[in-house]
Amino acid sequence: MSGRWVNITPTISLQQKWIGYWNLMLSLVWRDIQARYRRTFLGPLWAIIPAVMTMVIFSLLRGVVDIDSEGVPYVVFAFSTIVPWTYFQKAVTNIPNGVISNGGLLRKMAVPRDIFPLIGMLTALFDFAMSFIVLFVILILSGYPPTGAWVWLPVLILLLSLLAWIVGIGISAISVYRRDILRGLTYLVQLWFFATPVVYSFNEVQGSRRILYSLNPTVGIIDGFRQVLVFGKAPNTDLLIIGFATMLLILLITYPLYRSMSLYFADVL
Amino acid sequence: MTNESIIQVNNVWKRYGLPLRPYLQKRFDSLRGRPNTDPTAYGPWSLQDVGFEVKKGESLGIVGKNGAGKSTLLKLLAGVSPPTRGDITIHGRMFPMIELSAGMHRDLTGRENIRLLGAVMGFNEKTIHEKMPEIEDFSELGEWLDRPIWQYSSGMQARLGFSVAVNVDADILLIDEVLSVGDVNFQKKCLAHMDDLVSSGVTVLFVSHNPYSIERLCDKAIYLQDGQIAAVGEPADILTAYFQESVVKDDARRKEAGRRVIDPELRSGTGDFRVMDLTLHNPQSGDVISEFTTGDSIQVRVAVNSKTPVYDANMSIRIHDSAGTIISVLRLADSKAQQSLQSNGYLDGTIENCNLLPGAYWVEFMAKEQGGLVIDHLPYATSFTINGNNDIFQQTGNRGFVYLKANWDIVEASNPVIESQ
Repeated sequence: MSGRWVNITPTISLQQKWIGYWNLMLSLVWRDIQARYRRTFLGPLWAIIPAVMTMVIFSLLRGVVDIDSEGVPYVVFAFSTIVPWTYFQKAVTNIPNGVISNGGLLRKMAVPRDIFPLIGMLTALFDFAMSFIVLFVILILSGYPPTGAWVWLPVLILLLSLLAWIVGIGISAISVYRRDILRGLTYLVQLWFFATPVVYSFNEVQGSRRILYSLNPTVGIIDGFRQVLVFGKAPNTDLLIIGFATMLLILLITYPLYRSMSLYFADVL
Repeated sequence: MTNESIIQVNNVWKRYGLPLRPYLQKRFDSLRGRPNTDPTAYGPWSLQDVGFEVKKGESLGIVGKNGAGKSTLLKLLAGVSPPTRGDITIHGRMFPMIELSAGMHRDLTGRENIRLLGAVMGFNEKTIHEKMPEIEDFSELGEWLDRPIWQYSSGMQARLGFSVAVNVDADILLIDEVLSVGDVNFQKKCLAHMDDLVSSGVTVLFVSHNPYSIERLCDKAIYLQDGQIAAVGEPADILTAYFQESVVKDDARRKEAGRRVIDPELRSGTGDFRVMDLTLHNPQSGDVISEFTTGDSIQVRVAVNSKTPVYDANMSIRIHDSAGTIISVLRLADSKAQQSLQSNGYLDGTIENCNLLPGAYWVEFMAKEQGGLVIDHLPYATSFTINGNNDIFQQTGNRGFVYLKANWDIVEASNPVIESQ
């Protein structure tokens, strides 16, 4: 038993309405991108700094700990996966934060709740595009030019975005009510980082552990980026399919959760 | 005005928050075999069984005390928060101005925020571009439009929001208190513009603590009380009901405190002398009463008790309306009044032919020393109501504050132009 609110506007077609919402979403993304760097010295450089810093840290670490880079310069080996991982990490954290920080709008306007997670994701995607340019330059300079395998890139990016969205909406749905997950999110993402072949090779994990490891959807996708960009090979499709199945299972939980919880966002934000 | 209904609200109930816990509680109760069939159970309810209809081109005012459910109702109408029970149907494009900074971002400039609000309203870049000059003009913000809005005062933010609201061609405007922030000129401009919008067929839903703006703008008003509709009807009637209630409450307070109407919590001043009581009387019979009719004389009696002789005190009585607007100030500065301050006694005064229009009024008492030091201050010493009569209602419609008596003549003239000298 629940109430109902309908708005009937015959002068505006459904298509126009959705175009309107699309435009609104793009403006909000653009607003976030503009506003984020407005009070900084380095401005848009902040889009690439996190990925570069992670790479510097692990390059230094490699001087102490032995990490096998399969005969490839470590900078290329690591940066090719750090860039997509940083995108994933940013998207997952941006989505719930974006939903919460847009509380003002949520409380005042009857905009479809589904566009808010996309804002955080697209903002992260913008940063990804910026750092991908840097990655591209490094790849060229190090002698790893684009190959035919690059046709896989859109698929990988799509899968990674989808995963970030699936996880992000789940976290948003809960964190609007209780902020615990949001507080612990940094650490959860860090754990996830080490459970993904970002700074080490997929081949480091062997034996029976590998089955469990492959269930992690980021494994296939991130390793896929490395295979495509560094080795010029197609990604391991078995890994991608297993990962995709896991993603769909998570989606079955998080999307209904987000749909039902988002109805009441205005009550609690 | 057509008969087409633009907003329909049927039996709407609202309880904030997730419905999970009340749902489980209800389930649990029926499992125990003790189902609670009381519709008000499992609250707290912010709105209870609210229903009304607004026709196209009508404008509706919503009055009520803080916490009566006005803002909740607007939120539900805006579609940001779902009704717990009942249904709401809106026909047409709606612009809700529920809070000042609807969807604005503080780090962006005024102009960028206008674009954003336009996008929120579903406009494309081209339409926003076309409307921009009009909006900029209306806001009167000038070069401020290029500054980020965190530098704006709240009045300026209101200007920006309002300028967008009135220029977006919405069929329905929901306006919550936002007018009160702007300065007087801008308020006037907004009210005038809203008059235009209303007469051009835009439906306005207006929540305000300023009763006169509701009376001026709205064809119909709703009085909300504890989440329920206490009355619906003509704005003038609804406002009377609204004010009547605050007077009734005051009467209750008077009874509680016996003859002492003086609330010690609100009182301030040095206390060199104290007003013991302030009463209003019928000048003929001398009875203490609190209801008068427009044109009656009112006798005011102030009982004082002074500890030390006070010279040259500056005493005044101020009459307010319920919104706190000062209607009139009466000074008690003659020498007779000052002499009586040396001991206990009364200050008696008469307000002759009090021409206040029907409504509820408050009496404030203030005594200051010559230097400005406050001796005694009673912000709400007492209150009274003025009842109207038909004759005065015919002439004034009970709008405004005072009845000014005028006599009219009809003069025949062939060239009715008034020559200036």
